[in-house]
Amino acid sequence: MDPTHTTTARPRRLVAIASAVVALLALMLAFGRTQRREPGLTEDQAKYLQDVEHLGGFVFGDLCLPKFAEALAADNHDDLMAFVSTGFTGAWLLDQDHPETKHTRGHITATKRHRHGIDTKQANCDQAEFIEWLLEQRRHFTSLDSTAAKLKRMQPTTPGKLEGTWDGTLLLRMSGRTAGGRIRETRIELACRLDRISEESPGLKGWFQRLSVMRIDIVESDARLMEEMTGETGIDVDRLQDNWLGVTGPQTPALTGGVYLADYDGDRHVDCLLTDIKGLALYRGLGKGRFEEVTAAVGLPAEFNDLPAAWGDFDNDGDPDLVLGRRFFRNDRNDRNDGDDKTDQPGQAGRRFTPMASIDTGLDLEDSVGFAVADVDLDGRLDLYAVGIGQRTSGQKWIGANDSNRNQLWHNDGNLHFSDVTDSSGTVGRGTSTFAAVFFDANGDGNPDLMTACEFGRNDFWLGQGDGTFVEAELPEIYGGFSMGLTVGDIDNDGFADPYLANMYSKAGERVVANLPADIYDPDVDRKLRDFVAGSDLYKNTGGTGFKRIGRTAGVSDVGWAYGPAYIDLDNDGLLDLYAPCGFQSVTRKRPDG
Amino acid sequence: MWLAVVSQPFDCHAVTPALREVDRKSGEFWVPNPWDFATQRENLSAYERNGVYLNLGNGRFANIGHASGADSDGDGRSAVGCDVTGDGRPELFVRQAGGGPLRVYRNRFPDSGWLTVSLEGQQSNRQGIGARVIAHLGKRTVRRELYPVINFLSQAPARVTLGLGDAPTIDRLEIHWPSGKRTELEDVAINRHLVISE
Repeated sequence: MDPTHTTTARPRRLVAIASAVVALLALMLAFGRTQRREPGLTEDQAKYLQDVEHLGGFVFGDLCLPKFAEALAADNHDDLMAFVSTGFTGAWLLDQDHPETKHTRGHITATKRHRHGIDTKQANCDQAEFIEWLLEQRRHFTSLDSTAAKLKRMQPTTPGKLEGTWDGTLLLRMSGRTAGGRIRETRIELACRLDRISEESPGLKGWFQRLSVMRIDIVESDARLMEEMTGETGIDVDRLQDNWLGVTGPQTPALTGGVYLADYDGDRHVDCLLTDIKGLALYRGLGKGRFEEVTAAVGLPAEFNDLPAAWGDFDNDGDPDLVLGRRFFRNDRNDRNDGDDKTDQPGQAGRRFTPMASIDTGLDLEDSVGFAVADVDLDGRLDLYAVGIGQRTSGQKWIGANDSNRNQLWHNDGNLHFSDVTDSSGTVGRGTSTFAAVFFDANGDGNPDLMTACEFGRNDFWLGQGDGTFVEAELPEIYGGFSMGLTVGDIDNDGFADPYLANMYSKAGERVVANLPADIYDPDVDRKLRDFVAGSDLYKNTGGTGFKRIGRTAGVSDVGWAYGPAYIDLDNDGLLDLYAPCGFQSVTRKRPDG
Repeated sequence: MWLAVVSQPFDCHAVTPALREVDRKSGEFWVPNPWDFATQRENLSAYERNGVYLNLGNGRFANIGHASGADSDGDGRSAVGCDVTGDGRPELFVRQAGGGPLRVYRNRFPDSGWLTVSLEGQQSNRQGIGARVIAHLGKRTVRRELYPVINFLSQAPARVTLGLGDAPTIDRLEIHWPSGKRTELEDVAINRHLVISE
C-alpha cells in the first residue's frame, strides 16, 4: 500500500465523515447570523430553542412517549385512557371524508387514509372512543414484533409561551402478525395538543388534550418477501468493520465500507468487491448466490482500506477494469482458459488486475469520495468522474457558498490514457462537499447528463452536450443539498429518468427548525434552513424539461438520516421500487436519540 | 466561546454551548459540535429502519419494510440490487456501518417474468453504458437506461434486468446505443440472460 496514500486519505476521510454529522443542526444554525442581519439569534432566542427542545424533544419525546407506546403494545386500556385529559377530543378518519385507498400487488396489500391539515372542528370522538379505535389498530395483531412512538414536531401553541399548551406530531408504528398469520405493519401519524409539558410530565398523566389521526398506512403480506442469506453466500462478514461490535480509536467511523458489483471475469455471474476500513476483498460469483474470495489470487491489495471504487471497461477489451481510490488496475486476461473459466481455481483463470502507474495512465487521482462512469463525449470510450476532492476548511458552511471541494472529469484518450478535462467540461462543481454523482439521460437527447449529491450547499446538475462539455441546468426551486447519495431510474416508464436524493434528516432537526421564529433571518436564508429538514426527495422528471419535487406525495421522504439508495424492481413488475438505507449512529437502545 | 460562535455564521465547525442545564441523569446529552458525536458516542438518528418502498404505479410508493424483512435497523450506508441466485429476481446487498456490515437478502417475491440484458458495444463503449433498453409488452412499455449507478459507496453491475410481470414474451425489444445505432428484436423469449451485440 502506498504510504503516502495512507497518511493523507485517513484524515481527509475523517473530515468528510465528521462534516456530515449534522446533529442538532438547527441549534447550530440558530447561533449563526446572516451577513445582512446583526445579530442572528440573540442568546435569549437561542436559549429558548434549547428550552423548547428540552421540554418537547427530551422530556415529552424521550421520557413520556415511550410509556404511551408501551401501554399500546400491552393493550392496556386503563393506562391509555389515563394519558388523555378530561375534555379530550379526538378525530379519526371517517370513510365518507377520507376514503381508504387500497393496492394489491401479489401477496401484498397496502391501504392508506390521510387528511390534509388539521381542522379542530373535525373532532368526532371522545376519549373512550378514540382509545378504543387505537386499541382496535393494536388488536389487529395477535403478536407484535415491535411498537414505537416517535416525535416529529413539538412546539408551544403560542410561540414563546412554554407554560401553555403544545402542538406536535407523533408517529406510531406497530409490526407483527395478524390472527390469520399475515405479516402486518401499521403506521399512524397523529397530530396532538398537549395540556402542558413540564419537568414533572413523565410522572403525570392526562397529557393529551387532543389527538387527530392525520394518516394511517397499513401493509399486509402473506409471506416474508426477502430473506437474509448472508451466511450462505460464502462472504466473510466477520472481517468487515461493524461499529456495533466495537470501535477502536477515539472516533466512531461514520463510513466503513462499500459494495461494488460487476462481472469481472465474463462468466455472467456477478462478482462482489467489498471495500472496508479493515481491508479489501473481491469475491467471485459462482452462481446460486455463492461466492469465493479471490483477492490475492487476482493481484488485488487486501490491505487497501480506502472506500471508493468503480468498475468500468476502460480499454474496451470486454472486462471491467477497476479504480480503487487513487489507483487504477487493468483487468488482464493472460490465460488460454479465458472464457471458459467456470471450473478453474479462482484467480488462475487468466484474470489478473495489473496496477497501472500514473505516469502511464495520465490519471492523477486524488483522495475522493466516489466516482461515476460514462462515455461523456460518445467517442466509444468510458470516461471517469471523481467527486469530493479536497480538504474541507474551517469555513465550511451549512448553507451558502463553499469553495473547498472539487470534482474531476478524466477523459479517456484511448490505450488507457486519460486527460483531465474538468475545466473545459465545466464539471468542477460548486465547491460544496460532494458525496456521489450519477450519469443519466435527463432530457432524452442521448447525451449523458450529470447530477451530484452534495452534503452541504446545492447539488449540481449539468446537461451533457455530447461533446464532452456540460451546461449547468436548473434543479427544482429548492435549496437542495444535505444529500448523502442519489440514484436514478425511470419510475413510471415515461422515458425520462427520475432522480431520488437521499438527504440527511433527524427528527430533532425538524423539531428545532419548526420552532425557529420566521423573522430571524432574511427570507432566503430562512427558506433554506427549513428546506434542510424536508428529508429525502424524489425529483419527477417533467418530460425532459426539468424536475418536480414529489418525494412527500410519493411517500418516500420520511426515511431518516439517509445514505446511498437504490432503485430495484423487487417484484419484477416493470416498476422500479426503492431501497433507502438510513440511520446515522446507533450506540445504545437505552438512551435518547439525538 | 459564544463570541467565537457568532463570528462564524453557518460554520459547521462552530461550537455551541449548552445554555441550560442538561439532565444527564435521565439520559439527556449535549453535543457542542456535530463532529463530536463520533467521539462522544451518543445516538443520532439511531436504529432507523432502512426503507423498502414498493412502487404502486400511480406516483406513490408503499413502505413494505416489515413485510420485506429487509428493513434492517442497522446504520445503513448503501444498497445495490442484482440477481445472484439465477432466478431473475434481484437480491439486495446492503452495506452498513453498524448492525451487520453486509446484509444480503434473497428475493422471495412471487415469480414474475424477467429478462436480463448485457450489451456488447462495438462503435459504442464495450459495455454499452449509456444505452437505452426498451421492452414493449402489449400495451405496456418498460424503459431502462444502462448506467451502472455508483450511488454512494456502491455500484450496480453493467446490465439491465427488465421486470415483465405476467407478459409471456417481449413483443419488441429496442436497444438505443450510445453511438446512435438501434437494435430491434421481435418476440423475445424471456426468463433468461441475453447478450446483445451492437
